[in-house]
Amino acid sequence: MAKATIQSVKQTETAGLFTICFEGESYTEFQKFIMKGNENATLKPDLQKILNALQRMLNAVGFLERYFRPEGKMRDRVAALPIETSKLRLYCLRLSDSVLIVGNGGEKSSKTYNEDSVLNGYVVNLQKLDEILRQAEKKGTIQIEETTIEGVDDKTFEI
Amino acid sequence: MKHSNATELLFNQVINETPPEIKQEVEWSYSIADKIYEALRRKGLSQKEFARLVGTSEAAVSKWIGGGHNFTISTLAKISSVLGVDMIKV
Repeated sequence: MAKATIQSVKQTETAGLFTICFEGESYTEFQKFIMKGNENATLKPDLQKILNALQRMLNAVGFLERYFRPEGKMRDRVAALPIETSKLRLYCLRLSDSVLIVGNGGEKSSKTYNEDSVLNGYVVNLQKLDEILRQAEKKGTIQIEETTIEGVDDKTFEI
Repeated sequence: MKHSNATELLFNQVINETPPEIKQEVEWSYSIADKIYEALRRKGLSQKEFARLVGTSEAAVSKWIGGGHNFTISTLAKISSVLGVDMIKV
């Protein structure tokens, strides 16, 4: 188990973008994803497409369900932002049309994410966080309010 | 909640360094996706029915309205004629 915090990345009137940072790590999970794509000449155009798509969602209509592909289990909120012509995947937790937690991701080399231990690890982390957030929402200790997550503050989550 | 300035800066840096043709590709593919979705809603057409009319699968329609699809002129022409909406007004 690792300890992690939720940190905000970008906020607009339409939506809020968040990420996770594990205790003792210098970079957030989303930073690691961006750095990986940015340093690879083949993946860079796909990374640019993914980030420009996120920017458009932040500015325009939000994180609509139809823009994402469900990736976890039936009952969780884990999704991937796919670019059809690319194998690069960004895994995220779509909490609402206006709140998205982005994690890590990478190039999909197998048919499904769970055949790849690295990608599977990213998805499992988000599944665990989703479960923790669901319990906290049920207890009322955190709430998804418009474009933000209320009650998270500097809370540490054991994932 | 803590704000990750470093992540936001890196995000903005990639956005700023994106070539204009990639920005345009993303804008067009998502705009067309939204246009198809809105037209289906207005006409009360299900994705299944629309797929049948265009002669494709529901999975293909789901990709079209999901954004990020690289449409061909021939696909756009088919969509435009079924929906009665010009998808690429020039």
